[in-house]
Amino acid sequence: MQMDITIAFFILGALATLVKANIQFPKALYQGLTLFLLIAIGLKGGVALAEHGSAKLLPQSGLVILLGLVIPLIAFPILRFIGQLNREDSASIAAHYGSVSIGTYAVAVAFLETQNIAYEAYFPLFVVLLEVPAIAVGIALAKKTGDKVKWRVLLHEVFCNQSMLLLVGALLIGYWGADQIGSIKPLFFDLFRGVLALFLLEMGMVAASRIKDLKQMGNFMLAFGVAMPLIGGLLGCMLGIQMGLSSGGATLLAVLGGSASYIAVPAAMRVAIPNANHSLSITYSLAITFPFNVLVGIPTYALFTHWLTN
Amino acid sequence: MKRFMHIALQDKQSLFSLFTGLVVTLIGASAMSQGHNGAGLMMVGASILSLAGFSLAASLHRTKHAVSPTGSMTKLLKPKEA
Repeated sequence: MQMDITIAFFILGALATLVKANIQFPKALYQGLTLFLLIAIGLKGGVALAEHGSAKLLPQSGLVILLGLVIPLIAFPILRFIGQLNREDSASIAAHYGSVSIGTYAVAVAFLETQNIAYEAYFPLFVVLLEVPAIAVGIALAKKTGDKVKWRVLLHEVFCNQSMLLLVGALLIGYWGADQIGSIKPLFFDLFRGVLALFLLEMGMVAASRIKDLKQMGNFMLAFGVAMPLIGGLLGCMLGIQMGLSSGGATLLAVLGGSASYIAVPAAMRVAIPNANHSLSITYSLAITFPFNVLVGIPTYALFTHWLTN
Repeated sequence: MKRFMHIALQDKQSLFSLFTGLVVTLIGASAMSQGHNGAGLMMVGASILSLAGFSLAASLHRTKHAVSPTGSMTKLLKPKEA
């Protein structure tokens, strides 16, 4: 299986940082690329919902939410009792793994399109649904009796954060304006892979810059950062097949199960669990799980689907 | 080997790493045996296994060194006691 051209940019970014090349990637451009990807994914999903939306999506959505609840419940005891992390850190990291990474999802979509594997185009709906349950489980796991959570601020962070707002907004716009999508299609659909390549270049640099944190954390961190996406990916794959999704759909659900959030959940966790070590969670999701998923995980989830369906 | 196993069973983190490394390597190997690309998984699995192995070897080394000074101390003390 040939490596996707966009992933080569991720490797380039990582190499550039490792050889200390002075590449200045403007922060505003990175933020702009993230906004673009969120809007493009939301729009694609909205258009697909308008074309293929049906009542069968309701039970499927329920099962996807269940997946988002189960994954942090698996991650938490591993972190707490094997990793010997404190309750707050374990809960915060578990919440990251229960939620999804929009970057990983975008790479998975590009991978499936390159391999000509069909998938359910309404998947962005599941991306939106998977953002929230893990945050709720994370808070429940971290909470001790007597702890007070600033619910108002937290709900604002959960539902009005950049990724949630833009993804849901673009999904609704795509659903509502599906017949007019042709006018904005050249920007949001045709340029998708080029923008993804630039985004991955920056992500490669970010991931490589966090390698020094890994050296301090030890081998458990690396093992967990690889084991958890495989567990979540396998669960997602099995659920996708049970839900009757296509092989591309089951692979995408595996990607959602195996990815770890680094945009929406960190912001929510800072409010919900202020005592947790937030840079630890980001190191897990950005320095280990994201590169693993991009380079190795996504083809592995496709392989899981292949094995389970045959 | 017995001592290595004893330390591995006590050190939950290294045991978890060893298990993860082994499983990932096995998935990679079975993918390759069926003609799929499993080289990446094999590399990741081997890296985790070797890191866990180094960590366990370091623990083994530490316990050996923790025992020997006490041993030499008793040797030094014994003639005086006699």
